[in-house]
Amino acid sequence: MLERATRLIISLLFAAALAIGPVQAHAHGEAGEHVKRFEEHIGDYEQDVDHLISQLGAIVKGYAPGQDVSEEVKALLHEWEEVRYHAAVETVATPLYAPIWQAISGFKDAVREGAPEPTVRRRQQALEAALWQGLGALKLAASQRAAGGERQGKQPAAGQAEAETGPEATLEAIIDDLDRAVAAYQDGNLEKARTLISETYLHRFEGLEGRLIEKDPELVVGLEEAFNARLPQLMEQGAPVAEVREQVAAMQSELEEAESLLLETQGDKGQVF
Amino acid sequence: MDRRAFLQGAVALGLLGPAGARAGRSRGSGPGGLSVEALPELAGDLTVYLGRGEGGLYQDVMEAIRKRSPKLDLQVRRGPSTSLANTIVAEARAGVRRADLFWSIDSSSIGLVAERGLTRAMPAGISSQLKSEFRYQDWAPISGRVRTVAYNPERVREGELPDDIMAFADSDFAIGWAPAYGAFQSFVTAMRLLEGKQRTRDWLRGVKARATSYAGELGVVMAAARGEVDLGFANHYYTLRLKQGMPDASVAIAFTSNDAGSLVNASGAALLSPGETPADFVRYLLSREVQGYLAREAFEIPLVPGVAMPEGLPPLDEIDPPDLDLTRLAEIRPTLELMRDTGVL
Repeated sequence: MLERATRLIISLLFAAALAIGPVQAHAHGEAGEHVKRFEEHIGDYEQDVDHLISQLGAIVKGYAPGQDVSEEVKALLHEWEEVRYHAAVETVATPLYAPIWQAISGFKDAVREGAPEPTVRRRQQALEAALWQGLGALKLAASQRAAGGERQGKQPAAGQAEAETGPEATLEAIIDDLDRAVAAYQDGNLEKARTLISETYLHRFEGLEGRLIEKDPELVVGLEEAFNARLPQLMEQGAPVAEVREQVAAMQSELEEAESLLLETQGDKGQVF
Repeated sequence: MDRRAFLQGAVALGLLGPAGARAGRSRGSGPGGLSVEALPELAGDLTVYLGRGEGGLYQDVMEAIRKRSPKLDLQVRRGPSTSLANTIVAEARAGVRRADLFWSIDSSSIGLVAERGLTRAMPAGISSQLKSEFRYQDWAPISGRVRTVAYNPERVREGELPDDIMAFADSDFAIGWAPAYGAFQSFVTAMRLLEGKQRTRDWLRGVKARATSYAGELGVVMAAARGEVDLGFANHYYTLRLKQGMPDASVAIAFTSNDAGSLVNASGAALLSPGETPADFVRYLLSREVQGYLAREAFEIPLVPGVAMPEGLPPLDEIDPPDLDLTRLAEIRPTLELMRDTGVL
């Protein structure tokens, strides 16, 4: 039951990760190469989590109310900041990143305040759960990428590590999101499919459409209608997968046209200085 | 502002024609604000959390500053502004500070960080560069966007439009809106803060009865242009963009007066760590070059006096926005409850 609940939480949080989209660079420097191919490093991340949990366990084992373990906690914090798992969660499963910090903070507060052992153990469990949830989200993302076929191999899914540095990369990501929406619809997950469509529109397409509409407003009008009405309506009406796929293929073709137009406008952009 | 005077002015400014719009692009680099040439060279380490949006134009600004500042080791982390604000708060709770500066696309995300005391006072020398109504102690607005009524002049006569946003709830207009869109929710938050919960609830119910929902505000403006609706509520730049690409599109903009319907919201920067570099970076963002670039390329409203407005908008002092602390737009939860209660979300 607990495992099922945890999986549900991971799924929900990961769905949020997909919705929110990726970050590109990191406060502590560029993410390592491992993040770009995170699916090949799940074992490394698992080791990192094991190590962090072991370190955490050692602190709790030697803890007694009133005992100063601030140095050990500091070392744990340092370890968390350094491990590869950190960068992977931060980039690939962003919504699970802040909860880990919150759980660390809760644990840190408890030991600093000399809380009773049961309280410290509860905080320990909460932190362990947060770390496992982050790992679960990474595994889920890795399995989705592996199942994604040729296009997903070319372009990581929303929420995953990607170098979305220009309009062409963003459009590729949108095309990829649409593929994933069809896959979700085919699996009977209408809600996820609708969320993917809505979020890729709001967080990705919406950032591009300004310049695109200056170039070919009719194209944008068509895509707006497809994102906002035609595709979601087809899904809500329970249309056959083939019909949904046909609609998505039409949108992807228009997005490819949009990509060409946006590349043409690159030179039109003025200089900042 | 006299809305009708504005409508005439908008036509005169070229809102209805591409030639005028192109002329406006060259006007954007006006003489307002300090030039980067007068600013100190940026140097040292700087980590910026940058809200995504505006089609990557903010990222272009970052890259231009990076290129201009070889002694600056600039790290940029991009993400949705709200997500970055939550991360800053979570990191601070854990006793860690990774970002030196937060450039958010909306003031409400800045508010989330500021209300937890995580921002540093903005030096007076920076705030004083801004127009007086945009001076805050904890952050610096960088560029603005104003709420508008985008209407189809073939379906609605100019004189029929109320200049009171609350009056739309009692009208017979077919209205387009995008309730799931962040800018719309900020607008409703402003209404709740200015008019109170009950009046906002009544407004939402009244408009809902004749509203068509769209996923984004460009969709709202397009719906007005196509005549699917008589009018819609949207940020100004969607109409300007549409007119740039489709000069004959049947849509124009109007403003309400001194209420949430003419809210001017802003992107903004907050200092998270001490030192000259983060503060100087904000000075770069307020330079006439960056302000002009955002006005020309993103159609955003420059907030430094003397920098030309995007083509199609009147001067900011001719718009009559409500008096509201923009960081209070972070109080989104009661707004969402209200929108759910009324079935709008």
